[in-house]
Amino acid sequence: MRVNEGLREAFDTVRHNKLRTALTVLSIVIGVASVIAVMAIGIMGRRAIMGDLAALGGALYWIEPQEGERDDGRRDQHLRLEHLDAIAALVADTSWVSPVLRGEAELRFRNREASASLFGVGPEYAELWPLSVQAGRFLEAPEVRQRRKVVVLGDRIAHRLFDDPARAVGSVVSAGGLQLQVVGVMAADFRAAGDGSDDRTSYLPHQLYRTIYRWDPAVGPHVPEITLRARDSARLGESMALVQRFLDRLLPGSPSVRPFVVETDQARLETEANVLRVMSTVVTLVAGISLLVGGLGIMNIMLVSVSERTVEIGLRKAVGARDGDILGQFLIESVVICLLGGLCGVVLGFGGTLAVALALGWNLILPEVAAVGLGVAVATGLFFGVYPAAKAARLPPVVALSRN
Amino acid sequence: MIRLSGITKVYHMGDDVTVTALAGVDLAIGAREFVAVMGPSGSGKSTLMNIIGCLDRPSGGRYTLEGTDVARMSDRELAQVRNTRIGFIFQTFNLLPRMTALRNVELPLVYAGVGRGTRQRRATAALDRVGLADRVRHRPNQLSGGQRQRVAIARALVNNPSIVFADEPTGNLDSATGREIMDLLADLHDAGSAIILVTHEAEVAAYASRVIHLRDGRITHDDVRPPEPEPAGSAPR
Repeated sequence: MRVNEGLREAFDTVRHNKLRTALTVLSIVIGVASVIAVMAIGIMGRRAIMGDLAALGGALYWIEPQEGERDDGRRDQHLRLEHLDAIAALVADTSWVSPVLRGEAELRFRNREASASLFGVGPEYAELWPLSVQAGRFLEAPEVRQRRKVVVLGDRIAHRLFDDPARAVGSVVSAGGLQLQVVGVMAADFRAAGDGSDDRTSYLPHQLYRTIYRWDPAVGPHVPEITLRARDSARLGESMALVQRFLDRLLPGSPSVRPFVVETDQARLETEANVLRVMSTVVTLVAGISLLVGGLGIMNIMLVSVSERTVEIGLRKAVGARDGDILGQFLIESVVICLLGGLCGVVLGFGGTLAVALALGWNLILPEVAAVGLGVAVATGLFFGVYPAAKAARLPPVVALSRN
Repeated sequence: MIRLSGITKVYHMGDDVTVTALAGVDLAIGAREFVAVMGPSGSGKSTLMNIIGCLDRPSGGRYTLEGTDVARMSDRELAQVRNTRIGFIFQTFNLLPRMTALRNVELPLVYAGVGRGTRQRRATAALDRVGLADRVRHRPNQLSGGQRQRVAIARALVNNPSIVFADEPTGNLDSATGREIMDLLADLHDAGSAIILVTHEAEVAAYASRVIHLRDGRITHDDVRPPEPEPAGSAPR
């Protein structure tokens, strides 16, 4: 019997056993929905961890003073501007680099005032982090290099000073004696950047910021923080080693303790993503248990169906159905039932995934997950349908017919 | 066409309980014969019909159908024989309740791999032949008992079989309807099919030209009667 005949029969049967089919299929629906939701949420979460970094390409690293050795009084243990320039020249081909000078300042516009956190950054800062603005633009490399008096305001600061962020662009605000022209306003969702900023963070060229920064008199002006990003993540280790060697030569410490170390959290991020993957795999397996239960339910209902329809099977065989025809008919029926459940499950699981994605601002993924859900449903139908279908196919026609 | 020699059928009911349904049957039935098989219940007449109809295999003996040894046929080949050369009519009609009359009649053609258009045309013609052209879209529960049996007859004849088996075809019908059904079978016989009829009613068996009596799994009488006119009561004796 051809497949379309089988499908027609299967839908007929489902239509005539609506309640029974619906109840049986419920566990398949739940199973597919939870498998889909867990998988999708796991994948979306992993992408959220890796995604922003991957979007920029390369891998992040930074120079950090060795803990505990910082305050031994040696002035040499602070990096100066000339060191920064030397490092920038050293890694120019392999990495982007930017200092960050973090502080607090009052920003003023006319009679309004807002307490901002200021980030003084270098020309390549925008290469390090996925920054996004809601109005205007971010600092451009030439104006940072030329120490233009420009600033990009945090969302909250723009609201405080101008009410409407769009009106801020082009205005001039004052900060600790500097008159800064506003060229942009950062996006409200500051978390996406990942550089430690918040909605009060406003960016300005670091050379400019140095002139109003309140330095610790004991140390004097220096470069407290340097962040780098390897252009090619495969060459991260190489770039890091290069910088480390440079620092070791430049600022030799005691033989055992270096004053500065080069660190990365690439490995930690990968570990996090792996932990998430393992977790979502485990939860998917648990969700798979409800599919197993659902599959057993399908098997049960198919066995009931076979014994209810013994006479029908006998009759079909009497008029010429081969064992394979009967096998195919019942297999198609069980696959159709599971596929109906799978479709409902995909809709339900997609709903759950959508809710999570909306709540956490993640990018939604659908097609591959829906395909997996439907595939799993079909596989369940086949796997748990084979035994009842084979049982039906093996019924001798005369035994089946004599059941009435 | 049909040749049975020494056919036995033994059912094993338990570890050491066996029931002998057929105890050595020798029988030959020619093409276009109209045979009634009679006997009390338990005489083995249904078992005999199942074996001749290729629904069951004998425990022993030899059965050749149109020259082919049935014992040598695979299940697949037997299914094909049932599909193309045999039609079945049952006491309980055995229509599939969810399907229309048309779809029920189409069923043998579905398994024969006939395309949908041809199938519907032939099934409609078969229903027309049994007088149900206007009941094509009805389901079995919308039909009377006699109409259901007519659908079953249409299903049996849709593949133009050379043998039609009828197992107590009038058993669930009143006598007037039963006569209509038997008239249809007689028409079928006139059109060229062999008819093998299982019954315990002499009135029904009277339609046949040959009556075989079974008792305890053996043939006790085999009476060939001269061809009669239609036994509607008009024939002079």
